[in-house]
Amino acid sequence: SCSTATTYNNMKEMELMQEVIYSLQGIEGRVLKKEPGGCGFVIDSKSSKSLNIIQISLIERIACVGFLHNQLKQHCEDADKQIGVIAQSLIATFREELSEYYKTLAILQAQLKKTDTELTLRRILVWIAEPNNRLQWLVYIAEQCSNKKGGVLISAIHSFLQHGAMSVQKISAKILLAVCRPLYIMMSHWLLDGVISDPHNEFFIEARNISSAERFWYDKYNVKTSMVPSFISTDQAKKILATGKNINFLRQICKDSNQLPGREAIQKLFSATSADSLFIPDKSIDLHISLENVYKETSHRVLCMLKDKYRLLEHLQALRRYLLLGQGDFIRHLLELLAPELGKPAQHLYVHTLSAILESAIRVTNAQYEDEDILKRLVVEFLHSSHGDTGWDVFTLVYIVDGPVGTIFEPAMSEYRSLFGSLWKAKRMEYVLSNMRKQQITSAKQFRKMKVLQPILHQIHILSSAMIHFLHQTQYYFLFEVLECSWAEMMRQVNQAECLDDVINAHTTFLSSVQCGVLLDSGLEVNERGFSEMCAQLRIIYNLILHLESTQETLYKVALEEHKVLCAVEREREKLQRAGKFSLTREREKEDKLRISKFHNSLNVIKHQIKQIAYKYKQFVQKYLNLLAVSSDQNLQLLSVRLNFNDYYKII
Amino acid sequence: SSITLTTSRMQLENIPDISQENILIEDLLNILIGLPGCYIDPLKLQDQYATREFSLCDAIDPSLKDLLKQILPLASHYSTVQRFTEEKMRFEFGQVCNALAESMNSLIIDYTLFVTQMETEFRSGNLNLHKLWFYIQKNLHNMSFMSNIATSISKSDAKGGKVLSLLHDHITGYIGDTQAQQLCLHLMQAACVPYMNMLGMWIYKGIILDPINEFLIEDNEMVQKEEMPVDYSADYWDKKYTIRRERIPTFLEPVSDIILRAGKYLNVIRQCGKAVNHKVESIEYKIEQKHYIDAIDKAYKFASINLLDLVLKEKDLLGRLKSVKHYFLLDQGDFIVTFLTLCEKELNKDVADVIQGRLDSLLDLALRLSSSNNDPYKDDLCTELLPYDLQHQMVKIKTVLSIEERNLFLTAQKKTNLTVIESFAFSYEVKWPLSLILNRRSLACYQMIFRHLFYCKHVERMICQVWRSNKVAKSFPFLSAKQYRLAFALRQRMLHCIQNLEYHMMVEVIEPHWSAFMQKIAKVSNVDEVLTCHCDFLDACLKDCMLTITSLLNTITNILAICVKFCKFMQGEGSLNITDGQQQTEKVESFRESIASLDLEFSEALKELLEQINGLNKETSDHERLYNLLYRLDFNSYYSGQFEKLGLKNVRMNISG
Repeated sequence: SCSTATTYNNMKEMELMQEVIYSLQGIEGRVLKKEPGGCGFVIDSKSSKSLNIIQISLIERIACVGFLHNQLKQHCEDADKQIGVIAQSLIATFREELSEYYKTLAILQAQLKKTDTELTLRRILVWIAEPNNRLQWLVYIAEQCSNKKGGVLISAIHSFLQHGAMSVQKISAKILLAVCRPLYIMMSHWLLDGVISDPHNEFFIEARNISSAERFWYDKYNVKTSMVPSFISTDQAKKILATGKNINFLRQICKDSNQLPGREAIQKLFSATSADSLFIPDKSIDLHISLENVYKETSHRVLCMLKDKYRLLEHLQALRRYLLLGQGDFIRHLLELLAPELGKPAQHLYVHTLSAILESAIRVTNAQYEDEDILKRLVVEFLHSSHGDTGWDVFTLVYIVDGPVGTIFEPAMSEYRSLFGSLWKAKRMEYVLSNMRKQQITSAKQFRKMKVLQPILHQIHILSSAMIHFLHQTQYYFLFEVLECSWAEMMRQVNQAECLDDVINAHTTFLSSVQCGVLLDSGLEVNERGFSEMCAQLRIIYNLILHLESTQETLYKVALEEHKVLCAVEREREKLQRAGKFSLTREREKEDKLRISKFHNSLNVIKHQIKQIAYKYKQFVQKYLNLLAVSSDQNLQLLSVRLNFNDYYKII
Repeated sequence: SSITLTTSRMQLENIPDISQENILIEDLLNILIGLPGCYIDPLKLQDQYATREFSLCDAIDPSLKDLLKQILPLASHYSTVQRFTEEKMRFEFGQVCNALAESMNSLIIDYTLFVTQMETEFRSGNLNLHKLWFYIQKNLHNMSFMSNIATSISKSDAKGGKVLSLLHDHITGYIGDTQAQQLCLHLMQAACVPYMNMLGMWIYKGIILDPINEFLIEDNEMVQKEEMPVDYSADYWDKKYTIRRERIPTFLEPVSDIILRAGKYLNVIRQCGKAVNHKVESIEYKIEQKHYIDAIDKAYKFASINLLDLVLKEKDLLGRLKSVKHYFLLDQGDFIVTFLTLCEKELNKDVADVIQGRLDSLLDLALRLSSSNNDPYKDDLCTELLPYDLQHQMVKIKTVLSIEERNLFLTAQKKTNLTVIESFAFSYEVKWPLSLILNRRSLACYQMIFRHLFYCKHVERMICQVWRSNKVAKSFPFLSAKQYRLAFALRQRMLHCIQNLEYHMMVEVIEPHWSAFMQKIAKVSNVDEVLTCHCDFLDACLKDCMLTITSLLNTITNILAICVKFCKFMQGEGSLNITDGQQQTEKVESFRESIASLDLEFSEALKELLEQINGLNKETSDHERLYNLLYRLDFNSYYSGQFEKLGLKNVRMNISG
């Protein structure tokens, strides 16, 4: 009975083996049926009756591998839903693995068909032990990668390299190599030609549409942090971005068609290495060192290009000279020439008149030695005017930058505009005050005899002196402590700069420090609470100065009239006396009295006005000084000390 | 299937033994690869790591049953190992466990193959249970060994280095059993691969690739260098990378320190912005320790030589140290004199009344006026006003007192207002990586020595000033000049004392120590040695300048205080010289008394100092240099003679004894 049992079993086993081999390929048989709605297999309940435990347990174990196969195959079939070349290469690797697996199955099948086959179910178990292991990990990887793309997918696979088992490392390294290949090609395109060939948004650098060429440097290219593979650090990603950006900048903006620096080295690098140098620690160090070098070279090239060909430094210098009032004689002369024009209401101003004035100011000052190209860029512009604005409110100088340099300066232009406005205003105050002083001195002799004027003149002298002191100190602070110091710091940084971004950063810090320094609200704001308040105080103080100027003007007008009349009367009186007549008639006397009282009246009014201005002025300066004194900036504290050097203003 | 089982079970009773055997072998072949059989049932597991037990069908012939019972442990071991490999393949158990599991798994596949060979044998009718028992011997041994390892790893929840230690212990423990040892070695070599890769990255590149914390070195992520410059260097050296003792594999224990340092050096080099070009070589585990120890040694030497080169040659450590010595150890005489002259007035003020910016600018001036102008590192020197005086600082460091006493002492000290000279110290800005050597601790030592020397120098100058203003006495008539004789003699003794103290410290202590230090530093082979010999130098200087012995320091401070008191007294007295008459004789009386009391105070203090030095332990050579001071201070036995005269016989000046 033993032998019949064995033959029976043996026959049975042959059938079962065939079943099992089918199931390994994912095909249903008589005994092994597909699990409804799943990938696994179940034993047909009818045929299970004729099987013993031994056989059931064996075919169940083997069918597990079939289950894994089905899962992986499912993943590959789902691949059509996935887009992107990186996912594509992942699937391709899976397919490769599957065909390798089918090869094993084919051999098994051949073994089975041999007449003197030694194959048994247990032997199949041994045969598929290795593929089983492999499939397990492939399915695991596939699961981890589903619904991922690009850099995220690569990072997910990269994490499998952390496994200690050699076989797992080999599989994951193989897959990683495959998925990195597209990335590597993208990188080489980017680094060699600055081209992004990435139809499915998988690369970690993206190009955006930009509105104008001026935004090129800032907005065009970006690092997509989510897509950066885990083996590239943020810093390295930034450098890779910068290298390609440099290339594009040179090509597109600078129209530089020369051989790019470091291109050969990179070409050699990419032809000599393969994608695995991205993630194998030893090789990746070398790769990143060479990338670093290329980055440095291209950055240097861009910087040199801008400095030499596009004269970056000259432009900086010009901005400093003309928009930040560095060229003193020119600005002063321009102010003098413009003063009558700018007093008019804004609507009555024409760009061409002012441009002509600008031109003539350039002609007669040292600005004429400036480069023609730079002077051409300097133009007059009007700000948006509202009703009642005078020329002073709308006038501004503008420096036109275009081309490659424009990409750097364009965003800063509005800041320059506000800086110019602020500095120009201070300059105007200086001009106004010095004119007032001039008037005071020139007319002092004339009015010496008019005793009645003396107290009021004294008052006005004192007030204007105080204002002059105030303004001088403020100007000194702006021009020297803020502008010069920031400028020197920027030049130091610019000279040390290794890439364009360094220059841009230096320029930005320069601008913001100047903005803070001249007490303008910087756009970011909230850096210091007191700033806008200080700015407001300063504006009020400026207005008071202007107010005093007009008051003084009326005073001198009134006084001059009176003086003229007095002189006339005097002359007439002399004439009459010489003729031996009475000096004046009663009527004339009456007239005189009336006139004098009128004069006195208006003097009183003016006196009152001046008093008021003086009172207000002192009040606001005090407030301003208080703000300065409590400021956290030490320089501002010192400014407050300097303004109040003799404790004239009482600071709380 | 339960029906077939019962029917077959029914059958079994009626089957003769020989056929029973065949059926059982068929069963057994399944059981041995972890699948159920018809007559042998695996029992449920007690817990995850328990041994698998089996129940046998009652119908089996008893002797066959016993035979089966002999074989079944193989199945139990197989089950244990299989469970172990499945579990340890998971990421969270770390690379070492993964690798070990993998290698065990491949052995298990081999074992499965063996079982199928048994099957073939069985199918061709050549197998019986006895034969099977004979065939499985080798596998049984191996499998039991593996399950043994697996159980001990699982039970101790070992990971990383601990697993390796365990395997290593097994290897060394099974020297007698070659088969087991070979097996274990095989497992060990597989398990070591990831660990040795980590080790290689660390010792050749200074990089830690250790996602699951298995490696023996741990990177304590600290704040970056730029963010926290103050204590960074000190912390970096001691705390940035640490050895986790429990993770060291036993076979790396003796070299763990070297491993730590090799990577640490490389990291310092990298932090300086230099590339580390060292090829990674694979390290393998061998029973003979030579290979990996050699590799580690070589890597260590490479790193240490590079760093030493960087520190000594590129960063000019010696130049730095010399520059530090110029300022802190008063090596540059003209600078110190210029500086003292410039800020004489400032130094006598109260700390609260002085602006540090002023001191800084004076220091700057002094630096540029003196020969220090040629020192390239002079700009790193700046001033510091410490909130405690030297004595206080020393006490704080030498926490010899109990806490209460110390608090008492501290409060007592706090009350007094410090003058600038008491709180003044230089400080020095050191940049990475030299800040590893000139760290805060060593700078503090320099500061202590400096403060002591500086104060002595200051007192010496005060006494000299007294001498200068006393020159007026030359023009006095003999009689009135005579009144000052005592005072002048005292002044001279003070000057002698102070100058000899200074001479002792500068010439007999610092200079010899310095030259010894320089000789040592020329021969060092790694940075740690530089650190130790620098430390030794400072410690020796501190000790021989009597700063570390509290009682001696107190006495010296006392002497200096008396000198200061005397100088102030003399300067105040100076203006009163010319007045005459009755008043003057009174004055002269009081003057004489004051001088006499100061004299007594000074002599007492000096005597105490001499006694204390004399009383130091002469057995050891610790204080050898100090005895020279005895000769200097009392070179002509003036004091000893005087003391004897005064009846203070207890001072024995027998130095050689």
